[in-house]
Amino acid sequence: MLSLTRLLNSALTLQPPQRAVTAALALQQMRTKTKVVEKPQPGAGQQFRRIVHFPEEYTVAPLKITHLAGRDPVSGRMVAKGIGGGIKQQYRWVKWVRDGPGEGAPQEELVVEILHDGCRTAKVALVAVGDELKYILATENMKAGDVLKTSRVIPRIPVRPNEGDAYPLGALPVGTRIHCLEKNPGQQCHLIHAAGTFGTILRKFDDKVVVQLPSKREFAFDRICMATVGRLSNPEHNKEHVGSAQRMREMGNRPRSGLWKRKEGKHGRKIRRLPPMTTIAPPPSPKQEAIQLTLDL
Amino acid sequence: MRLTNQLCAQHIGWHFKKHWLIQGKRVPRETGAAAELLRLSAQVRTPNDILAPKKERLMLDFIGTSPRAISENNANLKSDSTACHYYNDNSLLIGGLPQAQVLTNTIEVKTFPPKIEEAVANQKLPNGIDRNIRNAILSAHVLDAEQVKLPKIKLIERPAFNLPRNYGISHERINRLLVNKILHEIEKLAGRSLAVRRKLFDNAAFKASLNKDSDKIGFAINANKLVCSNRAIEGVKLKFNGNLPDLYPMKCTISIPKKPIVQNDFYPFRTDATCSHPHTVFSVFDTNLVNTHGSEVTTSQFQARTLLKGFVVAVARAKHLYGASSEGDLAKPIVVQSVQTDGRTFHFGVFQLNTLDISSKNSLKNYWFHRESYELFSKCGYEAGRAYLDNYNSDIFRILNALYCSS
Repeated sequence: MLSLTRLLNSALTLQPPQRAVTAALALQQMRTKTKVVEKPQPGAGQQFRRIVHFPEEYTVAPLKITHLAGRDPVSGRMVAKGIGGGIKQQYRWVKWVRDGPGEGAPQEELVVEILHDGCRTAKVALVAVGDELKYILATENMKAGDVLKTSRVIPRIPVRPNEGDAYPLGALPVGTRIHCLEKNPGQQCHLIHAAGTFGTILRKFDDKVVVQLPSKREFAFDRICMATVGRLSNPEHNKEHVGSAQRMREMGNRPRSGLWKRKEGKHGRKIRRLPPMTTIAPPPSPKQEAIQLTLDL
Repeated sequence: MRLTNQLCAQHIGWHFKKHWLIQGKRVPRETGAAAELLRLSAQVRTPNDILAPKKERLMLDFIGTSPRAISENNANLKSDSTACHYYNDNSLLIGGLPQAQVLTNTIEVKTFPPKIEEAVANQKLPNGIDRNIRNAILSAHVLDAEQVKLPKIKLIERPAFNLPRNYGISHERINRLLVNKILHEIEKLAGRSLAVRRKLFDNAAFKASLNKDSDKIGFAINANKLVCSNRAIEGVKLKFNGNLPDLYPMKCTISIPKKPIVQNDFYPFRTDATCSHPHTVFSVFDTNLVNTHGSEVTTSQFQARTLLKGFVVAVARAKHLYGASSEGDLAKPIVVQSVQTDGRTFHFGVFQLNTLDISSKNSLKNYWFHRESYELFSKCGYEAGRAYLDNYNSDIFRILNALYCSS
């Protein structure tokens, strides 16, 4: 009530203030006030290295990228350190879903060319089927002219797959090396993508298939999860020397220091027993969107 | 009061503000109310729809504005009945020559037609002609006065290098000069009696559309130089048998993008024009042209381009003669000679259009007579301030001369 009378008094007695003065005042107040900016946490599958400008429809044309230099594209604030600069590469849009027929003979696809992609370590293969062109990740011994098979059929007796073929985990024999693995049926094949890596099918139980991932950990996947057979291309990648500090800058990494921690074990030696086999949980339900209440405190 | 630990223990400071940052965000609990309301056929709207309704923007139709182009990324492209596979000068067939053969229902014959083979072997050229051609090559590649900024050069193994930009003769000009000068020499040799029966045109456009096994294919090409004659070239009487190459698992329309375009037929001359018969198509290969996926053009793709240029000109001529709706086998085959060059490599071919029915079921096939590509020279440029030309190949002029004289 007191404030209301004060307001009324002031409104009656004072002259209407000048605009420029209020604007300057507002600016001054903003300057002293701390602006709260929400920054994403680094990790969680998000990388702050580049944005790829994906068109609406799938294309094999190399895509343009924008370097982020470790900044969150929404708030523009620094999130990841040690990223910045580098050669502007072109991105090749890999089609992660290898979709084959659910019954009958497998679909056959022709490898047209093996290409180097500057934005990933493994090589990519240009594959033609029907009047469609697409990229997949190239395996170790894949070459132009190879015919790949894709199928979603799980026969009673495991198939004898060749490198680059895509089958459900249940259709592959035990001991097969695989990559591009679906975590859950229907999700994109997003496990095992790095150069020279592979997972191994260890055993099968019920409707699960146990796969040893490149981290040596064992996970039980659903038997209808799709996987591609073979080891990924460019296996010498992890033995390659960067060679010079300038090469590191060309790769888009900035000078760094202070990461080595002998005692804490961070980036240092740590040998522990592997955790036991884990069954892959079904994908989480989509998060509800939060409502931002607008009380100005 | 001094800011001490004792004070901070009691003082709540910006507590409310900080707390509100977290508590101000609420995820509404799902109570099932919306589903219940929908079941009772009540309208459910979010508060924002009522508090801040979206303002519809009124689109005004101004006189003089151009109609909005149909987006190329049309999501309904596959179901759109007007959409066709659109082949133009920038398209490349990923399967190369085999794909071009299947696409155009054509058998490959690895020699020229007998008449041309004979003319190439038996022609007598004056002694000074090679010197004239060497001069023509040098004046196109080295001695021309044009100096423009040439395309950027990037070293693959050193991508960070910014090399100094070179100046020189543009690719288009080199090719235009080279083709014109060589044709000039041929015309001088042929004499007036033959030259009056040929006419030269620059940048002639040709358009055609055809159906192939439930696919619509539209072609739109540009002939950089077109030689027309007053009489059509005679077709080869011999029969050639052969099978089309197997592209499986590819379709022949792969790498020809689908676009929502209605392609009409177009031939650049009237029927009653005296020199309206297409004789030879000269096309220039743009060295900047690369595949959609960014790879260099292969020899087979280069040769496929020569074939398609000849094919499109022949089809456009057939539709021009017999009407746009004409289909099926032709009473008299249409023969078009096709030459493609990038300034150094030459590829020659003769396309004989026997049928407009390019579906895979048709037993009658079109013919494509060609030889492997030729290199005009190995090196050409300046050395120690003097223009030089290494390993000049005189076969190219002989073949071009034979093609020009053929009728």
